[in-house]
Amino acid sequence: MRFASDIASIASLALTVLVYFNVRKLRRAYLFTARVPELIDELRAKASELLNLHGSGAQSKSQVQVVMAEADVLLRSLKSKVGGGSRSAVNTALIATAEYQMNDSAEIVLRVYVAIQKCLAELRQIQLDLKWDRQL
Amino acid sequence: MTEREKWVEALARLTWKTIEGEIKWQNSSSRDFHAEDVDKAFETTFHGQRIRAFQRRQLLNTMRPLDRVVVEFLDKSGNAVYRPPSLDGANDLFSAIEHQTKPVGSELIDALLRD
Repeated sequence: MRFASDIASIASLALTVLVYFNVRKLRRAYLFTARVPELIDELRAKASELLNLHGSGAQSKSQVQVVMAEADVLLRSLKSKVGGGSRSAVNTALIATAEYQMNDSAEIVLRVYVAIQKCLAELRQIQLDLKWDRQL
Repeated sequence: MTEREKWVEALARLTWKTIEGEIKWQNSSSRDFHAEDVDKAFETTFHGQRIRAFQRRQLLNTMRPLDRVVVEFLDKSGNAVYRPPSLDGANDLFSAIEHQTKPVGSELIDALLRD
């Protein structure tokens, strides 16, 4: 009898863990569908803005700082909603934006732009994967 | 670094060099490569490699947001030999090219229209 109850306890624990991971997966998929596309669009716009400001010359340095701060906020928001490879791409972009606070050279702006583009590419792949996941 | 990551970085650098004027693009006719649904096309040569970028016409009722701007590598006779994956950054490249190839005086006209 004791043995049976032990087995039942272990099975229920395993089931709880399984449910926890499934709920987490569903929550992440929901966030991805509901909020992440919006964040991706905003981040893409910020990246384009950085390029345009760079193209318009040195007088736009203070504007670059503003856009950089906005991109940083978007990246932090994305970080809490993604996992795996995307999270590491977001982290790399956050490191680049932090680097800009210490060195505002054009080379660092390019590094931030590249890092954001890598995030976007990574997130687009996950969006496509999720689309297929929903269809299966 | 994966092939995709490499292309993301290469595309970003291509855009950057275009903005900085290091890479010069020229208008190209869509008739040159027999494409039907092309709005605007541009071409350049960088490190001996011909590169073409063009924008496809957005057709109604067609979901084609990712490959609206296409970048491809050409051989010496102008045939496309490689088309890298389509990325968000391609739109930035195209905007930079359009800005670079704008006819002289168009910025003044835009400014006058804004006033």
